[in-house]
This record gives sequence, structure tokens and C-alpha cells, in this order.
Amino acid sequence: MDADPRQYENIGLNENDIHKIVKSYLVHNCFKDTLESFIACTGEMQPTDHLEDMEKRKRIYYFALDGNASKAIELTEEFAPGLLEENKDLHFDLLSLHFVELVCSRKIDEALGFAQSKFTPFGKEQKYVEKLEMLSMQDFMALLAYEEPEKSPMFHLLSSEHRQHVADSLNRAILAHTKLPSYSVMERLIQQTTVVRQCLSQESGKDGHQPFSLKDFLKS
Amino acid sequence: MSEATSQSEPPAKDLIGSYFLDLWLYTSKTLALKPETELKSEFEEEGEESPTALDTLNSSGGFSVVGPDKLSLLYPNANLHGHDVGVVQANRPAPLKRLLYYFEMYVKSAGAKGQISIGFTTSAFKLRRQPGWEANSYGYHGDDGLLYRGHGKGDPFGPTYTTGDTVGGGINYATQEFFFTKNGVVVGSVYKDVKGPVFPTVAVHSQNEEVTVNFGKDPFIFDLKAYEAEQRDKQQSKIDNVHIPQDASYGIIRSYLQHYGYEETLKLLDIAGKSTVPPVSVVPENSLNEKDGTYALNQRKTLRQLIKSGKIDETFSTLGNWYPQIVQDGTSTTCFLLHCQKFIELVRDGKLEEAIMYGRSEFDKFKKLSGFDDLVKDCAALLAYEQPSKSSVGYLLQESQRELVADAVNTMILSTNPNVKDANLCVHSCLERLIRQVTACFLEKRSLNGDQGEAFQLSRILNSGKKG
Repeated sequence: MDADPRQYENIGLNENDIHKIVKSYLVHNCFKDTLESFIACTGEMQPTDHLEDMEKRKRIYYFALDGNASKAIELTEEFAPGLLEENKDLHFDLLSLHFVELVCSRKIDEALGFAQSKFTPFGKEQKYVEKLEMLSMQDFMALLAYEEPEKSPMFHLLSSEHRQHVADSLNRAILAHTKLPSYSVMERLIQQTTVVRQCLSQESGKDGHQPFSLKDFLKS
Repeated sequence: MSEATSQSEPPAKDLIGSYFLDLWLYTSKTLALKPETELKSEFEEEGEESPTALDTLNSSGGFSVVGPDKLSLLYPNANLHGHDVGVVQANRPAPLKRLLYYFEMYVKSAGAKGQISIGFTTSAFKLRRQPGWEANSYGYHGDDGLLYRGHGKGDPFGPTYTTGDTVGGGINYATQEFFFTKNGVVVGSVYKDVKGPVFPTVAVHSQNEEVTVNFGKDPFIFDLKAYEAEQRDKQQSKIDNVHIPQDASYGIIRSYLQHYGYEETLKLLDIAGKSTVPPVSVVPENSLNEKDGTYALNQRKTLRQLIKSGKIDETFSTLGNWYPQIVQDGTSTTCFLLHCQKFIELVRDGKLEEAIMYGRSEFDKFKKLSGFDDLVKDCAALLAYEQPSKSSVGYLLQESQRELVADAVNTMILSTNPNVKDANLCVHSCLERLIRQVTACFLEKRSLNGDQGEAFQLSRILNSGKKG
């Protein structure tokens, strides 16, 4: 049997590589127990220092997800000093979440004080100025009074999707900071597949490939 | 003895069997060549040769002289006009199936006028003109620092270069550009508007000009590895923003664990999935029907554990109890794999006499069936070495062989599911199909692109650092 490139599709993939993909997913999502079980079942070794870090990262992730931005920030500064300074956008998003939280719990004075001290350094850059304008106190009060708050442009700041997005960004930033890949191998595979399929369907126009649907592929 | 299954219409189960046999054969052939290395999972771009020297057959009418090492070029006489350029191509065109190609030229002497150039030309190029002066050629010229690409008039491009300088010419297949360097620094790049193979080319044109060429035998002045990493990062950041559907990863990982019978791990994953916010949708609308995924999960897990711990006798008896149909034909591939594994385990435990007797009684019926005898020979060869694990058949003693057998049994059991219509689905989990899909798509994209550029390599993602 020759090492023909087409044959490669049919010949086995390295078991170790597949295991790495699974482990990368579990590490990325801080599924510590699952990871330990998988390692035990496949009989492979894994350094244990990763596991402690995973617990810390997990806690930070869940605080951010819950909207408890101040706790997330505190723990991040403890676990990964300098990270927030290096990731300004992320820092801004976390601070905004905290601000929103304060306003929603009607702690207006605290919110104002917080905004003044924390957001001033950002005011120097244009892109943040625009974002800061969105966080105006008046608009926020109006938001809370809206009968249909979802009509307010700031509504998305309260949404769980936004918190998910911020938590994910924070997770990726911490991974990068600790010299781990910020995207799991699984995510990379999905992204690569999507991109290359899109490329192919563009190149072959109407006849040839349909637009790629991951869902359909997984069902097939 | 039953008829060799390859002679009649093979039922679905034997398709599975032959898949695993092929897989074993492939491992055997690849590892037999290099017993120390692990089975490489990436497809290495072998068979594409690179330029190694200057071409002396297609010479430029004797205007220049190629040195005996075929890596230097001299223009001995005075030039008279524009059609007596001493231009030489490399002995082969630049290889295509990679991200970058690069070579360098060192200017030993700029001679009278420093009319030196480096570039790329096709096989049709008139070997008496500077690269870039004719269509389908590109040249970065030392005397004026211009880039010529098919006309007599060049474009401003970079600095001039002269005696003591090292210039490099490269191809970036991802961006379809030529790029040039001077003394280790990128000078510029230009769109590569030429199809088909191109030859690295150097030229000299005034008296006593002399250059030497480096096709990679010596280290480059330019940090090619760093540049390559930089280019990869650029490509990578393009896909950073590709949306990943929620829970897609979860679904794929989950179906992998189901497929291979990792029952405990699966349970823990489900628990973890429920506690995420929002909880992962466990209803697998994006995987096989839940029942099919968990079909015989506990039994498959048990059998995998037995095989991985080398307990083959117990495997046989357990299979006989739970799935007699799999082992009732003593010459089936499953039985073959298990018998071989038993033999291997006996050798591993040092019970060589027992192994020989076992081999004698069990291997006989397989020797005459096509496809099996090479593998029987491999097994038998284990007995010939004092340190079998270091031999060319040492791979048999590794975990990977146990995995192979465990996977085969796993697949066989999955195929007994009456709901399963296509036995091929049982061989791979969704994750592996995804990898095969992306590999195949990359190859297709590459062939649409004139076969230029890299194939998909999983190892690159696996080994990438923090930006991965």
C-alpha cells in the first residue's frame, strides 16, 4: 500500500493525537474530573500542576459568567498579574459588567464613584470613548424604567450571551497568559473545516459544494 | 476450512474486518522501515524534491561560468548588450506543497557594474536575459534595487545591493507572493502572477561579477523559521473569528467517548455539561441518535478494558457469552486479531514456549487466507529477537496494537446494533470523520490552487504554542 494522499483519509489517525484533542477540550473547559477519568481510562500520564490551575481558572470563569465581575477581576489579578493591563478591551468589558451590576442593584453612588475612578484611564482612547458614552447613567436609569427594556441599545450588556462572550474571552486570555493554547484543538478543527469548506464552495460556485453546515455534517 | 472471505461478496462485518487489517498492514509497513519512530499521523510531503544546485545543462550560451560545486557563478568577460546575460536556473523548480520556499545568493563580487539579480523564472525563459525582463519572470536587481516582472521597466522595490550582501528570494504559497530579502531583512513582496513551476534564478552581467548560491545546505542569513511562524500566525488570526456553534465541541467529544465506550468519562462529562451556564444541551441534536451512541456502552467498555490489560482469554469467553455471532466463525478477522494479540501477550510475558505452541495451533488456519499471512509473519518474528521491542516488529508490543484490537472489537459490537444501516459509520466516530473531512477538503482546495501550498496537518495544531 503506497502512502497516497487520498489513502490517508482512510488509514488510521494516530490514537495519541485523538486523545490529545479530547484532553485539550477538557482542559480548555476546566472539566477536571472528566479529564482525570479519561486519563485513567486511556492509561496515559498527565502532569498534575495543570489541574490546580484549572480549578482556579474555572472559578474565575464562573464568576464572570455569573456577572460577578469584581470577583473575576480580583482573582484574575491574583492568578495572572498583568493580564488585564495587556488586554484592555477585556478589562473594559469586565469593568462595564461590574458597573452594570452596580446600577442594576440600585447602588447608584457606588456606581458613579466606580465609573469615575476606573473608566478615566480609558477615556483617552477614541474607541473607548464611544463605548463609555453608551454607559451613560441617564440611559441606564431609563433602561431600568423601560417597559420594554430589550429595546434599549444597552440591553445586550445585561444579556447572558454577553456575559458568556466576556467569560470566554477571559478564559482565552488566561490560557494564553499561562502559555496554553487559547483555542482548544476541537475549536480549531471546527474553524478550519468551516473556512476550507467555505473556500471550496466559493471556488466551485453553484455546482459543487453546498455551503457548509456543521450541524448537517454531524448528523450525517 | 471456510472459503476465504475475499472471494465472495463480503458481508458488512468483513468490510469492518478488512479495514482493521489494512490499518495493521499499513502500520507494519511504515514502522518496519523505521522501528524507532512512532507512526506519524501527519502526511509528510515526501516525494517533492527541492533544488540543490545550479543547472549546468541549460546554460546561458556560455556567457557565465558555473563553478565546479554548482553553487557559484562568474561572469568572466565584458558584456556587450542586453542579450548576453549570464543567467542560470536551479536544477529543479521550487517545490509546491508547502507554505514557503526560499533560497539565498551571496554577492562575492559586484564586478564592473554590479548588474546582478535574483528571482524566479519558468522553464520557457530565454537564458540570455535578466530575470524580470521577459514575461513570466521576476527579478530583484542589485544595480537599481528595482523589481522587474515581465517588462523592461522595473518598479521601485528595495535597496540596491552589491559586494558582500546576501539577498534571498522566496515564495509564499498562502498569499501567492514572491518576497525578497537583503541581509536578513524582508525588502518587499509582489503578487505571483505566474502559473506552474518556477525555477530559482540568479544572474550576472558585467565583468568579474561573481555570486554564490545557497539552497539550504548552509543556514540562511534570513530567519526563515521565524518568518514562517509569523506567516502562520497571520493565517491563523484569519480563522480566529470564525464562529464556533455553541455546544458543537461538546457534542463531538461526547460522541467520541460514546463510540469508544469510555463509560465513566462520559458520565462525568454529562455531569460537567449540566453544570455549565447555560447547561449544555445534552439532547444531541447534533450527534447520532442517543440510543445508537450508548448502544452496549457498558459491555464495550468492559471489553476494551479487558483487551487493554492483555486478558485475551477472558475477552474470548466474554464475547462468546455476549456476542457469540462475532466469534463463532473462527477464521473471522476479529478472531484473528484476538489470537494474534494472545500470542503477543504471551511473548510480552516471556512465556515463549507457550507462545510457540499457541501459534502452532491457532495460526495454521490463517496462513492460507489472503491478507493474514504477512501479519502472522510479523507476529512470529517476535520470537526471533532477544529484544523484540527494539526490532522492526516491536510495534506489536506497544499499546497501539492493543488499541487496534480493542477498536476492532468495539466496532464489531456497534455493528450488531439492528438500527445501524451503514456499518462504515461504526468504524469512526464523528471526531475522526471531521478530521478526515478537513484533510480531504484541504487537499481538494490545494489541487484547485495548482497543487500549491500545504496539506492539513493535525500535528501543527496539536503542537502550537499559546497562540494555537
